[in-house]
Amino acid sequence: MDDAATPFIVSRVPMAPPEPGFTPVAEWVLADYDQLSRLRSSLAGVVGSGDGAGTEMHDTAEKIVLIASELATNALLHGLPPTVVRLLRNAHSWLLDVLDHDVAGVPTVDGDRPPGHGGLGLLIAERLSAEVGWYTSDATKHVWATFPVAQQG
Amino acid sequence: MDHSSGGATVEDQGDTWVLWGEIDVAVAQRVGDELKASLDGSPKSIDLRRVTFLDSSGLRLLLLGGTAERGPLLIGAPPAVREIVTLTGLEHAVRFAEADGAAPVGGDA
Repeated sequence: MDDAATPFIVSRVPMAPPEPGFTPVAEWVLADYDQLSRLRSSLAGVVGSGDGAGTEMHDTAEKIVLIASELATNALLHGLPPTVVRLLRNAHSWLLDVLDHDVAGVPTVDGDRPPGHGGLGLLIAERLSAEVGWYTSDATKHVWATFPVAQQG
Repeated sequence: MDHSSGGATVEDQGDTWVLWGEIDVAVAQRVGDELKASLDGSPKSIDLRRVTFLDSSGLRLLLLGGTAERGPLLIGAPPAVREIVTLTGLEHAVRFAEADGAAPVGGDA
C-alpha cells in the first residue's frame, strides 16, 4: 500500500453538506468536456467582477475557476449527467457546488494510484480551498468547496 | 465560445510539444493521441509559453512527455502551472527551464 515514492497524502473527502445559509449566485449545466472552457470564462466573469458585491481578489477567482474545472471534469468523467455547477456565497465565503446524478459513487482523494492516474483533481481542490466535502440528496451527488471572500477595502 | 480553447502541436521532429491556450480534459483528449504518437523513449521538451490555463488533466498530459528516468522539460511554464506541479507534489516528475536560454523551440515561423 504505502509507496515511499508516492508524494500524496492519502485522505478521504469528508461526507458532509456545507453550512446552511448560502445564496445562489449563478449556475451552469454541462453536457460535455467542450463546455468546460465556457464554464471557466463565465465563472471568472462572475467571481472576478464580484457580481455587484465588490471586486474579488484575482487570486481567489483563479482558484475557484481551477477547482470548478477539476470538480466538473470529475463529474463529467465519473458521474452521471447532467453535470451542474453552482456558485453561491454568504458574507464570508464562496461556495462551489458541483452536482451529478451518480449517488453511488464516492469521491476519493488517494495516493494509491501512481502520478498521472487520477485523483489529482480532488487533491488540488483540498489544497486550494478552505473546505471540501460531499453528500448525496435524493438523486444527486454534490461535491463542494468553499473559498474565503476577500475583505473589501 | 468555440471549441478551440487550446491545443498542441508536435515540432522539432517530435522532440518538442508546443501547447497553447487552456489545457484541460477536452484538449487532452483531442491532442493526446497525436502527442503519444511522437513518444520515442526520450523525454520531451514542452513549450508552455502560450498556455493560459492548465488543470490536472493538463498536468497528466505533460507527464506523458517524460520517461521513467527523466521528466519532461517544461519551457516557460507560467506561475499557475508551476503552482499545480508543486501542489500535487510532482516536482520530481518534471524539469523546468526558462523560455530564454532554453533550447530553441518552434516559435513563430
